[in-house]
Amino acid sequence: MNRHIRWIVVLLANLMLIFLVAELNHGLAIWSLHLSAGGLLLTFSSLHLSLKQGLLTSGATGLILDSANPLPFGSIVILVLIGHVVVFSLRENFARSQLRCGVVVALCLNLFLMLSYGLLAVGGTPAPSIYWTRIGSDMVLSLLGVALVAPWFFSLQRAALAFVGIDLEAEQREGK
Amino acid sequence: MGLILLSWLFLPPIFKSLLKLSFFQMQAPALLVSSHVRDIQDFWALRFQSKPALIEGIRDLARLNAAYELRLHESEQLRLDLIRLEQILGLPSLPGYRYEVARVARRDMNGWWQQIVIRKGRNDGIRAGDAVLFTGGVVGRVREVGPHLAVVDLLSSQHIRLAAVVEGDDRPVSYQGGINPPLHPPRGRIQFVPSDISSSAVDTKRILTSGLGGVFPPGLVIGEIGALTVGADELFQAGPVTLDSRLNSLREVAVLIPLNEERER
Repeated sequence: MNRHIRWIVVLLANLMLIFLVAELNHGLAIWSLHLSAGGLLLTFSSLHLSLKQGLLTSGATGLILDSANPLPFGSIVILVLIGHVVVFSLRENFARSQLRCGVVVALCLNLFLMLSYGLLAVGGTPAPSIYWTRIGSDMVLSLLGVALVAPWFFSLQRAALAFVGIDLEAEQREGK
Repeated sequence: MGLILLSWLFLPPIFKSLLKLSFFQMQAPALLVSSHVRDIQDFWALRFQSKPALIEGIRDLARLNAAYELRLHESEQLRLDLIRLEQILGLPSLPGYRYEVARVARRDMNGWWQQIVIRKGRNDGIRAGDAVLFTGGVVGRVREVGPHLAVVDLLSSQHIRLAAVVEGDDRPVSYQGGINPPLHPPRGRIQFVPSDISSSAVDTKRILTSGLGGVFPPGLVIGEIGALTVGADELFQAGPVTLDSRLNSLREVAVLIPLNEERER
């Protein structure tokens, strides 16, 4: 039973982070700054869950992120799923249990999502150079934010899974 | 993965719209709760203000109220004059609006778009496309409406385009939201400005809504034009528009609801 609910547990943690980041952005809006933590939301599910469960978590997270933006619905979901599948297929090459590895993956995924989303949205922009200045400043802020928050968020996800009786580290040790 | 992408592409648009709506509505309770919590925080912050500061605030408000009351009388008189003239000249009456004041539940300003979520929706008579205003002028246009929440595209968002006029001139020009650099007031862009209109960084001019299109009544402030430059066609000018810096920190806005539309409902 516990095996099947882990994607819901991870999704709930993601929802909490989405809520907190939105609150932070509400405050940062005064200075025309924005923090994006999409990469952080994908990292745990792509590194530690099975393909099916990970895709469910990432897909639902992508749909939530997509639901409140003016670009065509599905833009984020597709990028999120691509990012998820790429990390999933490479994950055996990573030291997944190490925190440092998780942070690096989160930063790379965040960079990928912001750049690809920026390229999608740049279409109708009248002055792309100023546009990329803005995206650049948001990107720097986001990378700093993700690097700071990632250790706490990963431990929160592990703690949430442990709360429902899932010990990921033990499972990974057995897997080896 | 390819299968998921393909099935997404061929998914009927109505299903996608429903999915989008349900995922947005799922977040509505959290949005409302966080907004109410912020209001409570503001209330307690005021509770800790000193009595002299509060008395000073009340005194200032009383002065403002007196000034507004005078304006109210003037405006009522003008409204009656307008009705009388319409009757004498047999003119069709101007479209009427009512204001629905709403608190801002969330601000979302990034490089790709600028939007706010307000705490009123379909149940309060708001519809997609309605104009949104604040004390400084135009805020933007309602894009999506839920039962209790509505999403408003801000004037600074690239997705907003509207017909405007330069103050003191009645020829329409085109306004579009622009890119908002960090730590600066929001910006837009104006195009198709006739070549005989001049504006510079020192001698700025205001741009106002033209009333064309029927969404925004004429004469509402959009922003200030900076230096205009002649375009490649050498017929029209274009330039940046500096918007009110308060757009980034809105707490309360008013939605303009057309009265004739209300009567039809």
